[in-house]
Amino acid sequence: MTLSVEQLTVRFGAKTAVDAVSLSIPTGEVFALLGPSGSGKSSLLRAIAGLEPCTGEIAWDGESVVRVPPHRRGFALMFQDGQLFPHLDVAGNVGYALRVSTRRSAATRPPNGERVEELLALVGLSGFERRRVTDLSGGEQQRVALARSLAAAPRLLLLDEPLSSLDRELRERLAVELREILTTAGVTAILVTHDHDEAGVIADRIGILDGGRLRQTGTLPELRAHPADDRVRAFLG
Amino acid sequence: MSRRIARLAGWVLAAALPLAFVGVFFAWPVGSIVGRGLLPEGVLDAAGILEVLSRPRTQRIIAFTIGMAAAATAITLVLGMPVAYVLSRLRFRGRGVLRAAVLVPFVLPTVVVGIAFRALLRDTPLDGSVAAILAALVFFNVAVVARTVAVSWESLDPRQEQAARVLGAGPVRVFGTLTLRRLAPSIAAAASIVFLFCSTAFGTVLVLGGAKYATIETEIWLLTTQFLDLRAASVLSVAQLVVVLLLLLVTRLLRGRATTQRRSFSARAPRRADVPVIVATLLVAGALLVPLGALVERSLRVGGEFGIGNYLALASTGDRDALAVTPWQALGNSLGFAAAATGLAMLVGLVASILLSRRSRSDAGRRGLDLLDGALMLPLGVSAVTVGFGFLITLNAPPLDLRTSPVLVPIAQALVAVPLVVRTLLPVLRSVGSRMREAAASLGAPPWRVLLTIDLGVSARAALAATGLAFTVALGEFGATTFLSRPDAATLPVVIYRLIGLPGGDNAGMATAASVVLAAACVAVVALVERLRVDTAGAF
Repeated sequence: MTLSVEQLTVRFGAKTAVDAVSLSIPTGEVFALLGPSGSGKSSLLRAIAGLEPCTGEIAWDGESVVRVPPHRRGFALMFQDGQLFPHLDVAGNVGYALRVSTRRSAATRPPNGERVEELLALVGLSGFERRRVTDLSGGEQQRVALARSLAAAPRLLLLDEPLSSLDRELRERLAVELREILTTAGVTAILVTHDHDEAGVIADRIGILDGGRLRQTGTLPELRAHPADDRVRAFLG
Repeated sequence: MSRRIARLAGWVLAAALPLAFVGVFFAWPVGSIVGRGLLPEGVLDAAGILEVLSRPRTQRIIAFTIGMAAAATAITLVLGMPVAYVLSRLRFRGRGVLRAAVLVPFVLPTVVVGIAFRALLRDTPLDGSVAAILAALVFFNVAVVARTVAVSWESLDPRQEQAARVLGAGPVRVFGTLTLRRLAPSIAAAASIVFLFCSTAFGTVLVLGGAKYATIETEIWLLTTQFLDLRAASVLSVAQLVVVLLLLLVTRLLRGRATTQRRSFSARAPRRADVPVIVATLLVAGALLVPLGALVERSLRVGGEFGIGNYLALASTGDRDALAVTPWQALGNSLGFAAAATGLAMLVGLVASILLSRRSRSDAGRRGLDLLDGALMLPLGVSAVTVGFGFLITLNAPPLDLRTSPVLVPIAQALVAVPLVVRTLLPVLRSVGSRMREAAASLGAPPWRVLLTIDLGVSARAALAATGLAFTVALGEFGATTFLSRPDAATLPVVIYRLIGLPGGDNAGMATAASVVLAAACVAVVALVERLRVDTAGAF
């Protein structure tokens, strides 16, 4: 039960955004892709989600998903700015995956209303069902986006800088909460971030991406103790 | 790879619908009219073209059309600006009513506008004068300036003006050096659209100008229907097409710059310094009501006395049985045709808008989308008369023999409505970024569900508004319909025009009553659209 990525390369014209990255993530692990802006971490995440054309191999449980379209991969992507659907209320957004997914049969899942209620409770927004998403604060919007991604019951959750649009204090508080929510949900996840403290709080293991290449992987204390090269040392401060 | 080919095939099929519609029902008829006139024996008839262009009447008409459109545009800009300021910058009770009231003339059928000004100016020296035509064109277009400029004014950050004031510039100077300059793209865009509408106006000019004052558009009508001089009509059509293409190009460039930012700053309560602008706005709004008041008053007059005789006569076929159908039956025909035209325009417009809202990764795809965009806007500016006449001469033989079929009327009306539908839907659909669609896909929605739940979900209200706009446009369409509607299935605008062309006081009275009924139908639809609070300024 793992995600394995082999020699994944993403090119935009002449520019190589992701350069032959290989990594493997076991089930239940939260893995952080850490790197400065422009290091290719979002492109790597989007390629795994199936939103960016790429070469190389992406497999789940040894089965290639390269030819599987995004909506059948079972990898939910949460965007930096949430990308909430403005014409739907909070419950409509959270329940979206439950209504549109073709993955599971209707018989095996609980009624939508209950599941939405559960998820909103999990992200601390009980009673927000009928609120308009445009009236929510930035932190609340990101919680809704997280609940919406979890509702898809993804086998892999992809988080693209989920907290970076928030102010510092809220970011630190939500990072702790996010860790708890991910542990409670027992979900396998990849987190993209440029903040090593955030990565350390949320993730089990960290991969340092720089110039499209994966430089080193390990836990934050390991990376700090034994940085592979000067660039990694400089980036971790 | 097969997935990408299937996707491509899907897009090409989707593009085929609007392109086929515009191709068969616009390019072919208009092209064959132009071909018949300019290439009578398959070769360019340069001598013939020069002969038409050197006629004194042709030169007079082209000069009159451009001069009058320019004058009307200038006056409309001056009158529309204070209204734009009040609608965008001030907050007060009744702003919604003012917004809607200013829009009313724009949605009135052109024939009704003509009749209203005739009712207003009856028995004065202005009746049938150039001033009457100018006034009617301004009346019709103030809404375009007021609403287009207001949208852009709303998005200007007022702090820049405040900064200039703090630096020592007086209010007039600030307006001249700063505000006007920042508004310039939207003013220019509004001006070019108004010029377009004025230079191609048909119904209003035909009703008010009669035989005395002809524009290119009415002259094309006269040449094709009365003198059967196809060559001269084609030359004029081509001349008009060239002007329109240049204008569309300019508008496109300006529009691209004007919509770079889309923010809205809150309006404030009026101050003492706003009094002159408010007075000007009220005068303009009041002036817009005068012709409508005159129309209603005239419709209630029968032989010098007040009464509802004109309305009772709407159930008859007029003095000496002038009509083949009663005006009420004609209203029924109009509503039926307009409903069919709206359905067709929404189908074509929606498919086209969804296509145009996508960004292609390839250069060829982008160029294809640009081409589709331009092709769909063309019917807005090309003579409706040419389209109507083109239908008659091209769609009358196999493989497509529709001349005796009533479907030509809604098809022509839909052609005129499609650009408005696209302009209303496109900004909303473009606001759905590709990332929002990606979010939906990663949540498990297949592409067709993304289209249904995200694209159509977000644009539902705008689609409803576009439906209303398309319906009013179809209801009032006159230029093409006048060629295509058969006497026994005439639409109300055609019946109204027929009534004023006939002698007999009762017929003219009936025409005013029928105009009031038609205007009421259009205003009712627009009132519903306004309730949706969708920004329809883009439609202009």
